[in-house]
Amino acid sequence: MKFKSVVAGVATTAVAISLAACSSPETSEEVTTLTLWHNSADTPAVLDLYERFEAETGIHLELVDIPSDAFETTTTTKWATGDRPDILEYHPTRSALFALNPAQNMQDLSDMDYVAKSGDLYKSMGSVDGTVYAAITGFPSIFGIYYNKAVLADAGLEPPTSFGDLSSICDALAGTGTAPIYESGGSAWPTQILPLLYVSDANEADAYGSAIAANEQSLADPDGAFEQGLEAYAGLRDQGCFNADATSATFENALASVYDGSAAMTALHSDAYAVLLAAAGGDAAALDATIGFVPVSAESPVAAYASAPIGTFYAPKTGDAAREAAAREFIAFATGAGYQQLVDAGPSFPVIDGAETPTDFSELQLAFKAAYDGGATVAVNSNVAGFGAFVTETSKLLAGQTTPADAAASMQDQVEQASVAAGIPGW
Amino acid sequence: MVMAPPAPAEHRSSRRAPSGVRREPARRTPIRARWWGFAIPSLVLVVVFFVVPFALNIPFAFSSWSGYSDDIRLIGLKNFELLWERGILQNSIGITVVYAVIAMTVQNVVSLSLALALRTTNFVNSLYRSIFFLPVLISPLAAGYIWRAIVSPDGPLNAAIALAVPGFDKAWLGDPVTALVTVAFVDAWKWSGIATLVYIAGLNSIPSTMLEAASIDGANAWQRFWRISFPLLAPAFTFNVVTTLIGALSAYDVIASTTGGGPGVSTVTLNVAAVQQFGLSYFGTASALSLTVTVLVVVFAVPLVAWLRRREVAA
Repeated sequence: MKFKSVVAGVATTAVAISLAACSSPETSEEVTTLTLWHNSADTPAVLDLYERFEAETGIHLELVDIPSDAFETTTTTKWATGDRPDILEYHPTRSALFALNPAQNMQDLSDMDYVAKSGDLYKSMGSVDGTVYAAITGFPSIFGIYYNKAVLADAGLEPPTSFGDLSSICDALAGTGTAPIYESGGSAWPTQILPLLYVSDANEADAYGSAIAANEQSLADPDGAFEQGLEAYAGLRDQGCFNADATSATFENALASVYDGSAAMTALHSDAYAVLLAAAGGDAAALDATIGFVPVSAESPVAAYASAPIGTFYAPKTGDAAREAAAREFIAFATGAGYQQLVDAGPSFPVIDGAETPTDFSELQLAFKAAYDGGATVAVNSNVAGFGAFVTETSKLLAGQTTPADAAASMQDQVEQASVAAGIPGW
Repeated sequence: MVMAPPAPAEHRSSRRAPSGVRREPARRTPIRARWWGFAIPSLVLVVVFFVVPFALNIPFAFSSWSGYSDDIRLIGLKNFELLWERGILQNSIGITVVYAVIAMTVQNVVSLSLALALRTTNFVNSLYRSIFFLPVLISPLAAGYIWRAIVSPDGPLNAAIALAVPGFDKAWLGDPVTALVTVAFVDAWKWSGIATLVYIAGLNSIPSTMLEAASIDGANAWQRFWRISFPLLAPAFTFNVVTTLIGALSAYDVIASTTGGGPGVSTVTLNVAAVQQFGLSYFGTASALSLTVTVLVVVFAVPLVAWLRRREVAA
């Protein structure tokens, strides 16, 4: 009898703990604190933005660090428990947004001032079915090729503009001891960049990506740009273009190798600039003299871009009207009164009209801007649900554990699974 | 009023059974109701932190739970079918088992060797015991990052080998086979200290008179170990084999910090695959992989424990 009582007590306690964890927050009249899940790699400019908001409003931002190394996994895991911050810093791509079920979980920010001042940005980022959920403050990440100027010049080579050029440079540098392209399989995510770059000149106005997202075109199509991009990537691998430790090297190794000239090129994004600058001892002029950046795609110099998680904010529905309003107040500050200082502190190129562009950019940073302005297209994976597994497929492809056709077929399956689960029209 | 503690059941039965007389099975002592009180704290912890989460996880493995939709339905074995069709289930089970067997074997061979070398308690051996126990105290993630640097192509391991083999260059974590073996070795290095202590305790419980008698009878060192010490180490051996195997079947942290599952999917164990599925917001398939870890542990551990216990009785 006593034993039964003990068991019943334990069960009741466990249920009570579970219910307490799931219960919705109490409604409060005056908001003094907001929780903000933020990327641990936030720039000093973004951290300064938080402090300025606190000083301006008296509302304390309780920062919850989400480690940048496992950013997506940690966020989605916490999210899955039902835990919700008042403000969420996260990717603006639809592929990431679908996984948070925005229609159900996010406040609609479409009527806020910054949306109308951001040009066409929200047609390709931070929105679903015309409803804007994100507030993007950062300049997009630009994907392209970093190259060592002296290595190419000494070999009498021009910077590449197409995949044909990449292949020619590989041939020209064969046997010199310099790795033509430094690939970073140890970091995994960089392995996606070359296949995505291949597709960028076929994705004008995101037409190709939209067709994939709407199930009008398949990724598993030998004549499609996506599968051909995977073929081209495998071709560079087979040609011996990559460093010997391509499957285990990290992107930090890649940047250091291109900077010291032991590698000629590496495919990465513009947000790697800070790491590169550190490799140059913080000397931007020395960096400009050594490293260049160019857009490259299948046939023409077209970069791919995607807005980054750092500086992109959401206001999740928390069930507390006062806190939800305060979260919108933060977003209004980040995109309004506090925006110019955020841009100046970067410095970064503004994406919201009305802010003045700083003048103290390095040559390399101007090269990112030139690549963006020169017809860059949104990365094809940005707006397709279920693309999160792409990194696994490209890592396998680099390691020779799958074929381009199998990788493309697997990706089509993943996209179908996610799109059906998300209830996207056309699936 | 002071109550004398009840004599242990085994001691009482041995008093009833004089030596040389076949011992009758000890009669079960009825468990007194008031003893339950002492079990409650452990019971509560086990139920709240192990039984309840495990039981709650089971239905998720058969559900359509994902971040994409609020509609969660029971879908039978579809999560397992999906993982099988994508090759994730069979690949990660295979890698987990190979990883666990390598880690368990290396760990026990190294630990037993160390225990034999450090069996005698003196200042020097105590110092070495402490040194070999140090990796146990290091965070598995930190250990992984340290080893990642050690085995990198331009790291100290290759530099040391290059002294004997000029120009030696090997990306240990870049090759599917060496990556799996390397991370299993790191796991073994990390946890060998505990198994070593268990073996030392086991060795020191063997009466020295038996070994001396064997020595007088002409048994050499190997025969003394194989015929006497090793059979009498059976309980320690059972404990170490089972705990190291179960620990390695649940491997995640060392792999996450060395290869992250790569190259390709060469070191994607079940737990790494579960975390990857979680990251993709497929919580149903992630739960299915977690359940598979539990099933795998039961499938391996129960028969193994039964077999090793029989071996203990025989010894």
